[in-house]
Amino acid sequence: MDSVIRAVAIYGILLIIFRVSGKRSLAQITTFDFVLLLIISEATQQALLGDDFSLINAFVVIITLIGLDIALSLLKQRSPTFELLIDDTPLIIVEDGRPLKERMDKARIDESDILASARELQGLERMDQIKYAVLERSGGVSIIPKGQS
Amino acid sequence: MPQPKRVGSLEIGQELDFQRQEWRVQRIGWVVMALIVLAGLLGLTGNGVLARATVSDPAELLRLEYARLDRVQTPTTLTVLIAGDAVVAEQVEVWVDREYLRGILIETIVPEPQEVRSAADGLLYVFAVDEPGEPMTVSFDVRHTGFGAKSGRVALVDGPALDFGQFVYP
Repeated sequence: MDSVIRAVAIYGILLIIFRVSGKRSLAQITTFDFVLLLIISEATQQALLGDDFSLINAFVVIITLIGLDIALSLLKQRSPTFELLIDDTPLIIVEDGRPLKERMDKARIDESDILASARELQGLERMDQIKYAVLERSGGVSIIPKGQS
Repeated sequence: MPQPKRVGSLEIGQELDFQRQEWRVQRIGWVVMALIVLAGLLGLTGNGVLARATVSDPAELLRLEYARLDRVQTPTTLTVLIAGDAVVAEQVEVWVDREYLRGILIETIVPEPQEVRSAADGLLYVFAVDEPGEPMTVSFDVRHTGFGAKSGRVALVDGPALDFGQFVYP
């Protein structure tokens, strides 16, 4: 009983924390972000297993976590509001070469981040070559270059 | 994702109203996170300055230092201080109630008791006295096995009893 409750509690707490921290927080932009993610997983591991290192405990915890994931995805299919709550939504941050300042500030992303993405994904040089830039749910920025219809 | 809508030439599942609400909730969430960090620093989540407490009897013969807020499976200490006036014979017997003992795991007792006897509703720890009339300190290094609100009682045989309460975080 204990392992299932721990798994559910950790799943719920992590979900809430990640949703509250915003799209860009754990987007793994730098090596440090990656290391931070590893450290977070280390911190969770001990709380998840306690001092029970048996195989059956590992199985129960893993199956509970994946089961929760499946259950949530079924709920999301049924209820659009629930889906909005659990998952995020994408956000347009550049429209027709013009950065949308208010949205960028709220989402804590600046122009150099967008330009970096434009270089990486589309090989673009300047902001005015971008038709649309979208901040995706993952925290990454997708770029639609101008000249495509 | 929500049903894609047409924004300019993009079909995208953007929901601006929800996004603005989300940003507001996020800011509230950050305040809550800051409060939690502050509570942790002050020891309100166990293991800290604000968590330590002392209880003693009116005559100050027996005193217990313990953590009011504690955590499961984390080393913690219960310190029993016995005043010199209560140390008269060759042995001092400290009684701890069984219900409380059921919820903890004792790792070390300093000094080692000479004997541990089972008494009604509790265990009696018998310690040798080196110098009668001198105060004695006994530390129990323990770990909590169960979480939640707990109450315990520590007493000297034929002497004062101390009740204490703890809240153990999971």
